[in-house]
Amino acid sequence: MNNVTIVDMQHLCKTFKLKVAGSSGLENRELQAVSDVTLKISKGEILALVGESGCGKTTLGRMLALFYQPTSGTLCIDGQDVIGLKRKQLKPIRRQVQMIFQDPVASLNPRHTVEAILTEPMKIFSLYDSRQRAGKAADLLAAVGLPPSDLKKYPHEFSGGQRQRISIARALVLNPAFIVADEPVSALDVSVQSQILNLMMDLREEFQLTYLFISHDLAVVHHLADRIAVMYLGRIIEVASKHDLFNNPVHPYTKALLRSVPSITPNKQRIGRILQGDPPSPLYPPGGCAFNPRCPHASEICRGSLPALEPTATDPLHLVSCHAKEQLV
Amino acid sequence: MSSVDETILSVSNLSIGFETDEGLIPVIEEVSFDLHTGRTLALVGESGCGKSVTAFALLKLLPPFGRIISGSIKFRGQELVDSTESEIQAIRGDRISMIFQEPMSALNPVFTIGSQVAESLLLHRHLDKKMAWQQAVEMLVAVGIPDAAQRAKNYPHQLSGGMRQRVMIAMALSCEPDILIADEPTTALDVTIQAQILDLMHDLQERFGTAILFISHDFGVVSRMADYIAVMYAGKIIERGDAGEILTGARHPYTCALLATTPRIDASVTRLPAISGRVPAPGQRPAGCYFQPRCPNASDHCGEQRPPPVDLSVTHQLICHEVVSE
Repeated sequence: MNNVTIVDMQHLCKTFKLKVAGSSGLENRELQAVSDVTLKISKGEILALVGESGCGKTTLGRMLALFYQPTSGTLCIDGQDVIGLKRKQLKPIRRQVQMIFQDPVASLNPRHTVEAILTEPMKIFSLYDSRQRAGKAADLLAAVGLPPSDLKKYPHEFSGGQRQRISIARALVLNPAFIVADEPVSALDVSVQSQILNLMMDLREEFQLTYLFISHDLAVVHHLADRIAVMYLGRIIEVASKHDLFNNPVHPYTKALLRSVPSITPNKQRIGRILQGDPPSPLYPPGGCAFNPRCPHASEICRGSLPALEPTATDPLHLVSCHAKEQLV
Repeated sequence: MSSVDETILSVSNLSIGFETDEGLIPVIEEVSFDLHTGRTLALVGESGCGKSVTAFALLKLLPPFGRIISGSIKFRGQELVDSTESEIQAIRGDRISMIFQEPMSALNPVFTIGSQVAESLLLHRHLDKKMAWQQAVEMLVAVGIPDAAQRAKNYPHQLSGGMRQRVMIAMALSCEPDILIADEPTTALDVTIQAQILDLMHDLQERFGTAILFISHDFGVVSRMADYIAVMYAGKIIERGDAGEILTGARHPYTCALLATTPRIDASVTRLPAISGRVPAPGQRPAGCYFQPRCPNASDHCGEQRPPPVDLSVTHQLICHEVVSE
């Protein structure tokens, strides 16, 4: 892997304005979905973003896919600052970034044939003539393992796994450099899931892709990722290489997450020592470290101030946001 | 309370079909299994293999087009297949109850959770309202709802997903049923919450001696819960055994492939072995062995004859042409 940065996030934040039922009718509130995320993604790597539902991983992914405008911070894609760009200026950058969605049923237009779905991006960017477009669409179908005769079919004629293959082909039409895959296999059965994961690995070689792989499934992430970022309540709390994260997790939340993953060994018994309670609502985040109400190591300082995401003493590439990290390494 | 390991429900040769425009299509074919008090049987398989239909059939909750073609379901000696609706109603929610995958759509949004837990107590135990409410609150305490007396007055939307699943479990267990059917109870939950719910089910099984039929597609979760495992493929149980026999000694090519294809955090592979093709739809099941078109070990006669049952041990059985017992 070379070390060219393809996506560079500095202090990225996203705030949504909501109306929430309060004691005196509807109140305007701000929900900070993503807070102060600083992270770089290198060309060719698979960075996995893991966390529980509501932690902001999809919001972060959608900012990188240029669906959402960040509220503050900077975002550079392929060396170009995208904050504050106009629609027209963003258009050429959109070719570089594509997205694969979780639900292969909802993300394909049921009234379009596969050919229409795959040629639309080329039409938008006025690439090729119509014959060449059809040829390119057939090539892409072949690359994801579907026959060219499927071009004339509609999405409902396919199974879930095949639809996800079509979504992947669509994401590749414009020859992007960077793909945001938001839980691409969580709606699939395990035998189909492995087909899609293998396909994504093959395509990464073939098209020199960089992935942001958003998932809640640590076993899938363990199989696929080069580097892993763990999110909790809108913030990245730990970043490390796959090997370090699974073998030397530091943050108490990462440790609890790893302990909760069931392994396939016959052991009917309680898991024990698991994390109690629910993640706090992002509308009412706790003071200090967001994890402190559930953390077994929480002390006064954890309730008072927010820990920075910093390298551990032993490894400059292993970043942890925890006041007690030196005791926990 | 009955002693542990007593057979409490016995399903034998159960076949279920769906009425369609093309006639009656078999969905479940000759499924047999037993449930024992204080023990958990896990039904494992991919979507469409018929594991949920089997579970719904036990409570006669099949869709309007579903028919039990043949077979028997015996609960404590009583035949459920030809029992009347009112006989089933007396059992459903009292002796046999069920929890579902999606706790939000399984709870009624316009009633408080306390009244929903109390409902089956009013219906089956004929308690007065005050007593039922009190017991409902005790049940909510038992499933670990903090501040249960106040929380009982909440509506489902005021609870988190994990809390809602706890309420579902409280509802299902309020009459201390003999059998709990859990249909993918943790699939919609996050992994730390899933761990909480699985631990809770362990505790409650120990306390009430409930027999659990645990339906899941996830071998990881199943290994935490199951005493016995039955693997389903295209409407049939293709392999069954003690949890250890299946998880570490599976012999059916489908079970082996399913286990190998599951990503895990305690082992690394560069490439996941994939099972090619897909599960045949009901009505399009091939001749011979249903897994044969996808099977790496298939030989000619696999496509011609139904595979015979093979006994590997007293508990470990499978159907396959290519596996022979030692």
